[in-house]
Amino acid sequence: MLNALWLIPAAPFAGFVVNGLFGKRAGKSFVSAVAILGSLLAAIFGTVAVFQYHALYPHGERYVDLVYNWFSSGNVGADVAFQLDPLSVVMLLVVTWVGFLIHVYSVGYMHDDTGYFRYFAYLNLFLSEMLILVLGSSYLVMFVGWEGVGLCSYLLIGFYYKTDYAPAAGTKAFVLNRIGDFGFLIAMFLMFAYFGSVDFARVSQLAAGGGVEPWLLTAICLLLFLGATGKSAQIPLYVWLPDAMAGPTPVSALIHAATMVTAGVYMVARSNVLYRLAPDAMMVVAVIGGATALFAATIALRQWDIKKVLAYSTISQLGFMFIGVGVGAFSAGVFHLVTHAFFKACLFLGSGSVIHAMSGEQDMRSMGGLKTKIPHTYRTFAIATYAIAGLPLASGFFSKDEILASAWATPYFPTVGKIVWALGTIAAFCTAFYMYRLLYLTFDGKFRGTHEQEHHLHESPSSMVVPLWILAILAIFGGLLGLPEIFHAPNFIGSWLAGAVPEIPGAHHLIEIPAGSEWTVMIVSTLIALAGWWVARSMYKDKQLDTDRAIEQRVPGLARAVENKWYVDEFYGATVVGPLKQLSIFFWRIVDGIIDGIAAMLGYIVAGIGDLLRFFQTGNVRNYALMLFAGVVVFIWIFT
Amino acid sequence: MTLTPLVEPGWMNAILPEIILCLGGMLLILWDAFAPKAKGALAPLALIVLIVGAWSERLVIGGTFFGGTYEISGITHLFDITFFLAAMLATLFARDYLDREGNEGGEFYALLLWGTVGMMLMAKGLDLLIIILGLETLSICIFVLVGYARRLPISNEASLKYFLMGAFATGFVLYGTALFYGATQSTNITVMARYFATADGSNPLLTVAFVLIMAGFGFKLALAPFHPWAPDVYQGAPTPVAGWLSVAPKAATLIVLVRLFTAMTPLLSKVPWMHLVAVLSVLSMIVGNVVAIVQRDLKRMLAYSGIAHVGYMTIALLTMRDDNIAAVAVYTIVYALMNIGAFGVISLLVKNQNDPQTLDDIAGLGFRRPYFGLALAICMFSLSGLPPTAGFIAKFYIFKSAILYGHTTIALIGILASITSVYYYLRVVYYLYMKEPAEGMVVETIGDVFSVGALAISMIFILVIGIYPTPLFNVAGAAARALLQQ
Repeated sequence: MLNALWLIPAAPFAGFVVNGLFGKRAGKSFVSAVAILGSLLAAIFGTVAVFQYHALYPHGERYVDLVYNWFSSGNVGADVAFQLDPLSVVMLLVVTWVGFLIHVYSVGYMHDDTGYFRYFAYLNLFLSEMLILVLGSSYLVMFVGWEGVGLCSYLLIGFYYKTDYAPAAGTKAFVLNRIGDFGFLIAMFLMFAYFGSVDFARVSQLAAGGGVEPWLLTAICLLLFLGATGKSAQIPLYVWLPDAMAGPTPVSALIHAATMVTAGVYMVARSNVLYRLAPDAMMVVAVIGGATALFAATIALRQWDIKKVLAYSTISQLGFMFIGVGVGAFSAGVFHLVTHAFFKACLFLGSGSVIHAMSGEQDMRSMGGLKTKIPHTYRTFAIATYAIAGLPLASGFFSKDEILASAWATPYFPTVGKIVWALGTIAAFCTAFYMYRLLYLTFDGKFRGTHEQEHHLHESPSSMVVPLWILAILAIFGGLLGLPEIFHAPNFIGSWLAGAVPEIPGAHHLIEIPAGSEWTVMIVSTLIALAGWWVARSMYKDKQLDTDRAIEQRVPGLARAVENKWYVDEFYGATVVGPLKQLSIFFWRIVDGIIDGIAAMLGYIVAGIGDLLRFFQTGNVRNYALMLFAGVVVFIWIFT
Repeated sequence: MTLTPLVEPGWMNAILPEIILCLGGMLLILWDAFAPKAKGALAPLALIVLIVGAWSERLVIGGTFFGGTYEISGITHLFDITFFLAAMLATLFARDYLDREGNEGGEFYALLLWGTVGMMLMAKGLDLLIIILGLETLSICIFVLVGYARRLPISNEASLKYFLMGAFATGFVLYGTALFYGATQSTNITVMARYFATADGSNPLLTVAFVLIMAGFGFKLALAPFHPWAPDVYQGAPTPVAGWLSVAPKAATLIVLVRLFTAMTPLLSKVPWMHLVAVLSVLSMIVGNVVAIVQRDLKRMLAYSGIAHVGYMTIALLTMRDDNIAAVAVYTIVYALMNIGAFGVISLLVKNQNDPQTLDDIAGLGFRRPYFGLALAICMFSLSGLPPTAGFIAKFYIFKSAILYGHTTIALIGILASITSVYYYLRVVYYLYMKEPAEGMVVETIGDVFSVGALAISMIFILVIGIYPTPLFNVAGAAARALLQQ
């Protein structure tokens, strides 16, 4: 398997081709069989490769499988090559297995959809591109996957294209991601220009070799991070992710929670050598991560769409991951990525199960009391909520705690680290609060929907419930992968990922957290999470929507601002989108209009019959010639 | 006074492809005269002529001919291939289009072939007079081709506009040439190069000459601010002609500029001329992309997008190194594939050609005609530079060499501009797959084996070049190095 790593992305790609070509005419069982087989094969190939890799390279060395030389010109070039190292192994396992579970879940969820084959073709294509992203051995191959997942995300967000908002949401996601790609591309060009390569190991080696100017590393890191803010929905480019919820719910779980949106975190962790040599850039990452974690969490406090809450929660959790990689705790960031994949996928799939039961209703104001109607969904949802809230001993508890402790103890920027820790801790309180608010509003109290909806309530089929339970179990026990040092237990993920964070001269290696701070931070985090839960319980468990109404009466301005997401979309519309459109129209109407002119417009109408004489008189062509002449005169004047 | 013999041995061989195309064009017109019923055979015949012509390139041996005014080398082979490719794709699309419009005729294909000859003269000309000869041969063919649908007012208008403006622009090129002659005592680029090697650039005549030449060729390239004709002409021209026109003449003009700039290289460090080229490039990228955003007419949108693409290609002209020249050569081939492909799909829309073909006409096309929809989508992805299409690799090559040779700012503008462009290319995909046509507004498409084949060629090469560009890069790199070593 190791010398054919390309087979891993190729398996789901084959599924995409088969379903794309024959899916329309074939039956649903054929389509789902092909799609599930594609994702299962990727998972199996990937797992086999991981075992072989581990047997051959027990110390986490880098293994590269060259497929072919993509291009080379002069002294620069790039290969199409895949690699395995501790970091890509973690990503590979998460992506393939969570991806497989969500494929299975989708069979039940999408059962009645007319675009069944289209959905599974896109989903397989996504998986393939995501695997290219995590297995690529250079920034360029990663970029191919990066663009590919963006495209699939676009197609899947706009999947319900008959609604008017879904295609617009897709376009928004794609365009905002392209702004991030701008940074990624320029970072790559800088690497080409100064290092002559975009291979991960080569770039790291040259950067660590010394003699590289600090501004260059800082610039590369910041530009890469701009790319990450697009893909991973961080301030200022996060606004696409909430809209992305227009896509089918399993897509939200797979692409917009568990895998694609974590690509930015993966990229920063992948570039850890560069970042460690550019602490200023790291500080930016950590601060943006902390700010996003808190900002998004506040918006989640007052949303009623069940998926919107989860979307803002995802943005906030991604912020936590960026705190982790930003303060230098790369393994902690990736650890949180893994646990988040478990519990957030579970939550999204759970919300899908709720929506499925509610016949498509997403507004929590019409839910309530679902506890007894859909018990499996409720139990798995409650477990995942427990995990994400950071309550003791579940997966989110350990991963979030490691991030916050690392922020507290970071050697790169001790003061800012404390501030970031504070941001994260407040965000953690909000997390526990809004998640339990969601849980209580949805599952407790009385049913508030229509009679018809109530009549229709049903638990989802087993193809949906089984993945939920698997993810719920992982959400509970996933934390065992990375127990903190003070427990005197092995930290599997930490020691495994140590191989991906090499020691380099002039930079810190792994973060040493003193036992005292570790205990302090852990106790504070626990108390904070408990407080969040307790406040939410006292406010929503019995009173339900009355609380939200009471808040609105007491602080109407604040309530409305949060409800409208702090008006960020409106702000962007007024400051960026509007002016750009104006500029475009300006160029078209005014600048080109000087040439086309009102006369030309008349000319189109009058000369429409081909009256050549009159056509001359419009001055249309004369204006073009004038333009040409004026251009020449101006240029001669300037250049002589 | 010694006279050099103008005709060296082997000259017949040197212009074999041109001879084949000229004779082929005549054959097509005669065919139409003698067998007016067998119009269906015209396009296949034209294709055969093109294939034979392309094949005959293999027999052509490099070197200079006709008293050092005509040069054949790796780079001219490469550009010839681009011209052949463009003409073949245009022929394939024209077959269905003309058939539907009911004005199929031998002269159409003949003009296409002769226009190709004009471009080949431009690419191979080592003397400005030969280049102008080629330019005029080309322009006359374009003028007739654009107005080919002679019953359509819009086509007439476009043709006349192109004629008037083209004549004006040629005037600039001629004046520029005359001034260059005045300064350097020659119109031969090799001789001019010797002058440039020792000149100090203080002669204002030279600068005026350069600006005039750039304005003339800038017009042919549709570089802003010499671009306004392009949208009108593309919109009015028969769609397959518009596709061809948006690519092939630009390629020919670019190789001429490559030759000129290479000859001027020793002088360029002393004069600010390249600033002018940079300004034209930046203006084109900005105007092209920004205005394309608000276009709903597909042909106009592609016209503005073409202005932007020429802007990207012009970046590579700023430094004459082998990487940059190879990047231009690669870009023109890739651009031919994706842009003619895109125009090709539009040419298949069954509509009154006097009306604009708007975005609404392709709403839902991706579901009604999956093959055409996919082809247009792939062309759009490639135009917007998404990996792993050829458009990505071509653009990457341009920007990479620009940054490598220190044109960082302009490359940044280029990347930013190309990211803006995603918006309007993606909108086409959005209409293809995420939009339903309005009630009763379904636009039919028509297309038989010819256009399906042309689209297959476009799609396959776009993907193959994107995934495995090495052979093309090697050929282009070797050709560019050979050009510089002379």
